[in-house]
Amino acid sequence: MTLKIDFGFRKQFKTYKFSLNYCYQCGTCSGGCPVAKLTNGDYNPRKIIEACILGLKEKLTTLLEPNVWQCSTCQKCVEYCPQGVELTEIFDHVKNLCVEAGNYPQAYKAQGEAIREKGSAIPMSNAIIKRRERLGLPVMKTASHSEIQTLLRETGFIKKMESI
Amino acid sequence: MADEIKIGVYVCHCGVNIAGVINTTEVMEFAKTLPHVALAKEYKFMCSDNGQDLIKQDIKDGLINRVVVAACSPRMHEPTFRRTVSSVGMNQFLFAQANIREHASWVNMKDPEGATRIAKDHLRMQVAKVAQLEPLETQVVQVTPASLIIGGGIAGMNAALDLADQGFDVYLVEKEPTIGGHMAQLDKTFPTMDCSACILTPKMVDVNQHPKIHLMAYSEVEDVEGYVGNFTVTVRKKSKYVDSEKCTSCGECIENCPVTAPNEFDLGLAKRKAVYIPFPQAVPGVPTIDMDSCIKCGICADKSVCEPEAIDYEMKDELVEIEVGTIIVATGYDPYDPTEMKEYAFEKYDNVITGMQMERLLSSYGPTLGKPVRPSDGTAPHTLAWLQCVGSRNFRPGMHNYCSRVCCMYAMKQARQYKEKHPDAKIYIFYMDIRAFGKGYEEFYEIASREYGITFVRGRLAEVYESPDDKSIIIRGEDTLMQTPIELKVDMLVLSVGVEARPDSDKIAQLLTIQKSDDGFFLEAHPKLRPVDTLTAGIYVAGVAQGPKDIPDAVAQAKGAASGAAILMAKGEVEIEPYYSVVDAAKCSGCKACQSQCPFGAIGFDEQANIATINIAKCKGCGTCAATCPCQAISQNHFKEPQMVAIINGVLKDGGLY
Repeated sequence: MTLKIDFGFRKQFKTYKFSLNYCYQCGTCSGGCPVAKLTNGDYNPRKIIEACILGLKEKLTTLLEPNVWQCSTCQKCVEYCPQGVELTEIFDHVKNLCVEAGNYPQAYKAQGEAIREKGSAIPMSNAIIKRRERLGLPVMKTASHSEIQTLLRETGFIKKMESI
Repeated sequence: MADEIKIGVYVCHCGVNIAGVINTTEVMEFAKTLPHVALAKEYKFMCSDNGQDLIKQDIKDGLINRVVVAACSPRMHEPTFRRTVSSVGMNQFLFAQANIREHASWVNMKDPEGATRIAKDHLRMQVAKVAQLEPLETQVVQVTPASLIIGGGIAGMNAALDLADQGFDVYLVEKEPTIGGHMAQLDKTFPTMDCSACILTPKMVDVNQHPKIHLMAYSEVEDVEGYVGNFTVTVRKKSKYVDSEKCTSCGECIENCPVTAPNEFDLGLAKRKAVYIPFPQAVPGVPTIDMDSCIKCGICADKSVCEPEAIDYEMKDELVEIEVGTIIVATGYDPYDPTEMKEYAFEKYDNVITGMQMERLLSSYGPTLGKPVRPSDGTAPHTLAWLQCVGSRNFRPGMHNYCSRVCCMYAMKQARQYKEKHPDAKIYIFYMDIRAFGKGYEEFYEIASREYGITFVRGRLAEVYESPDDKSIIIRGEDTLMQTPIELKVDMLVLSVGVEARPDSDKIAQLLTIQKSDDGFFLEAHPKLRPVDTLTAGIYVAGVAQGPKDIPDAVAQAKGAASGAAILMAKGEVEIEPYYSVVDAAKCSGCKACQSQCPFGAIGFDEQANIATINIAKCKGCGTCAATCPCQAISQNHFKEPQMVAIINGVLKDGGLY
């Protein structure tokens, strides 16, 4: 299979996230990545960075090789990176591009819906509320739903959710 | 100056460097319109013989008596043109250079019109200034035929021997109790596998026995005063508490000392006594008492132990003053301390060691007599891994961006040495790039992988864990060429730590008024053409103190520095520029404000006349005093107010920059 280099994408990405240019592919990120370990290298943060540097847009956003959605954003790679590459921020950008290409896991959309409707991604279950009571922990306050609604509307989140 | 001012202006093309952008003919024609300009010419290379002859001929013909060359930076060719004009009898300080290359053509390559306009401005300023210049005379000072060398490692020793063999007195100051430096800690040297001690110790003996070398071990430079050719240096000879005159180096005191302390020479892998010599071949061989650990029990001082009664607990530091003409800085380096890189758990796990510690384990006079063992249980490791670039090529805070240049080679050397001792051992080297750049290095690398069967894995380890059952080390990383994550259990992990500038290098830089580059090492005057000079005349730099390098490079640089110092001392005298401040006795109110500001201690005070006086040999012409003086009684003879005003007027008049 031949891969197409998207030069516009490459140039834009390297300007947008300048730290990308510092990567020397040492493999410290992938060596320390817990997801890489669990997936036996199927998910590999170094290869995502490599694809960004080379401008392989199709590979990143359509083929999902490696699948950027598997990143758990634990930030270990950012901690370890000797060159100060902002890996997780770069992955965020790749995820945005994936959403534009309509290539995202349904669970993420469901989570977005939950935020829009309930004001939080993971609503408090009754079991958790009861256990907190039992342990004498204070009642968790949820943020004002209407405020969140305003924020989501103003930032264009709701429009985006409806368009995808 | 009754003579009429006749300025000659010469515009240089510098090949295409200037003429490729700037319209030089336009600049030349413009020069002719400026006041006092008698003639203006342009030429392809003003610095060439033909170019210089143009200037000489015009001076000889009496057409001009001042010269402005519009060319490159004065840092480059000011000395050239000064020589040109003075060779035909013109005072060299009536010359000025307009920098239209770095300041105009190079930085405005895409705007020829703008660059030409800027070139004219630069030229106009220099023409205005040169009309105001006054002839000055250089001074000649004697050079003391003696040299101070700071640091007795392989670089310092080589420089010392070269200078001493030429007949100059050399004061070699070493802060440790022995000379030899880090090379003494090494077992073998790459790529020839020469035994380090075998090639080093004869040099140490030569240094000690040379009649022209005054070895000052266990001493530190306390103060440096003076200027090129005439430095006065105060050296603190730290008290050894053992009288070197009486001591016979029999070693009885060491045998009988009941106190132990960690041995710095073996990087904590072994103990030493409170009275010690760092290693058997140490020079000088007189023991030193470490007063931080000594309990003054008196055993070593007893006549039954020390027959010549050389031990003296009351011995004091001694300050010695020496006069030298030149100084060579060869203060070396410290190995990088990997404690801060928590992911490699250097302090936490016993079986993670540094390359320098491995060197001591491999050494025949190291703590294990050349048989490396695991610090946790004393057994010989079967599986070993080396990790490259620890502390080097790393942009995280506290680490170094530069490549340390020796770690690739020493890791391969140690791996090969271990394989020779244990042919069945399994060895991995984790690297990003192998930098085998020196003579014979690439071949060394080839053999390491092909014949020794060392496994090279391209990937930097991310983290290490300790196996709870046998204290082996579990390493995690990615083999980036196979694109697979790897997890391996090794018996021992060696961190190939790089080199870094010594923490006291700031103090040295301050004492000698020399500069440091961003990486913390001392700055050379020019990275290519003056690699052993510093920007302070008479002071040279050699070895890793200037930047990471291996032994051959350090020795070569030491020989270069010795040659630089020898040139000055062989000549016996040096010209110093007449750039100094002058006090106008009529204006000076005697407030002494200048005295406290002078960074070179060049201002004295005449109590009788109540005026400040300037020691012109010490004065560097920095102008701090002139700026401080509330009465404007001080002026700089090369930078007078009328000259400054002329430059400003020159640029402001007729549209100038504004």
